[in-house]
Amino acid sequence: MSESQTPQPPQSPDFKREFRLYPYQWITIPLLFIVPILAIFGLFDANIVDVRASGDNVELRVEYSTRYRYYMDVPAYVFVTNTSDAALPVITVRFDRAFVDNFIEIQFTPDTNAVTERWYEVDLEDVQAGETRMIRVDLQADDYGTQRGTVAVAVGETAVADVQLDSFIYP
Amino acid sequence: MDTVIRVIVIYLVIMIGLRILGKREFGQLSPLELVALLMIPELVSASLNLNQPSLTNGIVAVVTLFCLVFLTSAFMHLSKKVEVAIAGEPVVLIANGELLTKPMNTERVTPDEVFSEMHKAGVDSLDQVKWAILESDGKIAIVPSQATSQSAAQEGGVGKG
Repeated sequence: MSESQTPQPPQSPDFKREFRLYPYQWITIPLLFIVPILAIFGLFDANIVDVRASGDNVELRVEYSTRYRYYMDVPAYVFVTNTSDAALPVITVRFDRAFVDNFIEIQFTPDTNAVTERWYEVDLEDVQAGETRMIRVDLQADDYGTQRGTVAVAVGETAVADVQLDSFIYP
Repeated sequence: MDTVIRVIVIYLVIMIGLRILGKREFGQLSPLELVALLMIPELVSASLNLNQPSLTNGIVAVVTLFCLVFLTSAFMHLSKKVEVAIAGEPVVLIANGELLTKPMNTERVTPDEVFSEMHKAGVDSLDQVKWAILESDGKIAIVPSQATSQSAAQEGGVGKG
């Protein structure tokens, strides 16, 4: 008996196939779909932004991520430019511990010169007129939630500029 | 404490997700459902492992899987062709008491397996079987011949009397 001649059991009746949902599914299914769509658009990924401030003789620019996932490594970069016509012997960049201490595996390059109750301090010495120096801060997200803090620049003892950092760490 | 909270969150996400998708999705192991059930532990285990513990990653991965399962299920329901492509079609193994060797060999089903299912259905010889059908979910359905069904019904009636 060939396969085409094989007797077949009665087939299930055909019916009009329609897309139907329960009322609660009209709300919850789209909500489910929002999650991967937001992920595709990068809402749960790092979001690198640039914040700037300038003061007397110094321009400060910080490149950092406003979003981290738990244990995600995204370094922050701080650029300090001497906008004066003369060399500055010491520019001190201060990193707020209220922000930085929410991360682990913290590494400053160049290294810190001092750690106080409020700040991590990095001194940039002998910055020539027009010169830009960079500080890299390696950060691995650790504490969930919104974390805020300041990066401030001082020339000598005078604070000249600061920017606010605001990051959200997803669990 | 952290692990407990993570397990609770993952558990709730999976439970709510399954509830939202409905009974059809996970009531039996069709290929689609099997893939989903195999993938869920893989996806969430990363979130429960403290070496790579992003809960957000796990939730996004599982919810993405739920969406894929729902879309596939919806397309399967709307189109017979898609349904056949994904779930396959039933295959007749016995027709009117005759073992069909070609489909049995193609599906790698042995007579022993067919007889085992026949015994579960309360029949012990081929001539008592009208149809044996390998269903899409891999189970073998046995339809007894009309005479067998009637005699079983009568025996049931005598027994009761």
